[in-house]
Amino acid sequence: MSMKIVLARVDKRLLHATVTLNCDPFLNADYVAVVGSEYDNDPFIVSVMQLCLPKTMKVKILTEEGLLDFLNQNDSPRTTTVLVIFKDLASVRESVKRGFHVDEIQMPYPTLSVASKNLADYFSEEELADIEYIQKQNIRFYFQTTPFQAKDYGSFCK
Amino acid sequence: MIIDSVFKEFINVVRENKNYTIGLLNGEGDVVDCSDAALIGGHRDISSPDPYNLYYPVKAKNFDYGYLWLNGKDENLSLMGNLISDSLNIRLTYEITQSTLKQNITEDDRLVKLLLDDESFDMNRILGLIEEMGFDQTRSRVAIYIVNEQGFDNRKIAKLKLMPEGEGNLCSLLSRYALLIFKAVPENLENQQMKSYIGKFLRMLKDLDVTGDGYWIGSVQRKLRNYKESYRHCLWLKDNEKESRDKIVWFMDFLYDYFMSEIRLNDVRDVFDYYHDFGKDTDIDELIQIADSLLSNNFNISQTAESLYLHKNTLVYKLKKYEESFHIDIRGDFKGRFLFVLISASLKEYRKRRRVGEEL
Repeated sequence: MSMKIVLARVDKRLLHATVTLNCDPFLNADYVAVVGSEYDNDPFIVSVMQLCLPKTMKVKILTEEGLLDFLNQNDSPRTTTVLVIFKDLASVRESVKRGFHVDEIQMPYPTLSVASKNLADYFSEEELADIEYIQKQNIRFYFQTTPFQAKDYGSFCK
Repeated sequence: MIIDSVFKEFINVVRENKNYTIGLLNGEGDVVDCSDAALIGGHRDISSPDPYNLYYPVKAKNFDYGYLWLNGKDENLSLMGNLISDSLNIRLTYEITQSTLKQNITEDDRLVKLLLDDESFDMNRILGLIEEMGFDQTRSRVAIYIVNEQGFDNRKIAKLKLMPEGEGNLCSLLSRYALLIFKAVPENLENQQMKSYIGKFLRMLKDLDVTGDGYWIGSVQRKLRNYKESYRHCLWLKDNEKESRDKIVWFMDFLYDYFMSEIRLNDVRDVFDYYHDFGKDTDIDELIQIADSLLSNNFNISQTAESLYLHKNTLVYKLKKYEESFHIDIRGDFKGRFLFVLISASLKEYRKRRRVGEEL
């Protein structure tokens, strides 16, 4: 029927970020789509990364272009759920440019506390530009490292 | 052990690539499993890695599973070693978490079953299990009964246990469609504070996608023996408050209705039947309406008359007639008022049964 994105996250650890998401019910996704990894052409590495997760959860290592193709094709009679993990903000921006859209994107906290700091302390100018571009496409960012933490939208509104 | 089955999966994948051999070593360096079966039983010197043999500790949730051994002549051996090692440790963490969750929920199920057991409530078994689980029995708890007609996802319920808000709670799927949570609550909360506290918890459940078609909140209980009463109060609400779909229904809002429902109204009717037969011309519907209105107006005659659009004297006249018929003092005596409400409730029940065609 259709693809439903249950979580979009930027995490340079890619699939290994799932260790922090282990307790999150969102992880009950049919697919984990890893976007922007340099490993997308190596089937052996894909197989090893797939071993991170049980066989019920399929791993897809995709380019930004491949992500759109993947999200647009679905032959399953039911809704397929997808957890998307981007390598970095540039990868999100590239995907958004190509038509990817989601309501909000999760970022792990760069440090334990971000409340009193400025985003510029944590992101490069290029990354800040990426954030601004993505926000202009009506996509919200929030900080949340583990599912136990509250979502922090405020830091991205300053 | 979890490591055995997980490592077999890794072996199967690595066997597809002839450049590498992986093995699982125990703490002493003995090969306990390997993608090359001929090497099982051999020994490796963990403290002396070389460009062709790398060793990585296998550790998950503070438990040591030995070492991962990677052998190969590939220039990317180190990169591959890190990848396989990370994947193995992450997978083990995942499997242990899942296993712990299942164990937790099973223990909760067992305890809830014992607590709700009406026929053979066994406090010794309950206390034994509580000690085993490390369950804090000194806390007060309230039953939350949630029904979802589509059925609950067991995995989401299990994961609820890991949330900070899940701490101290007992959580059990009584069936695919019914979830019972004994929620730990702070002491001495006022009614409104309690609603706010539980409401926040239910919003957290919704965030977890644990939603229901109805939510029934029982009475707060401290004694383990009374937990089933809190659950029973939820069931009473579900059966008696029909307008509760998609709403949160609080037992404490229906105490009066609950206790009225616990009174054997047939007894009341039997007691007053003789008098009632005398007043054959009594309009039952009107009597019930007047009793309900008196109750909601704290038996204030003027306010009751106003809400019924009656002149005060007309209402007094009707009340006098009831007083004469049933030999009770409705206007001046608390006991008389109470009995009048009981008579009304018994007549309400009588009317309901007559409407469904029961022979009376």
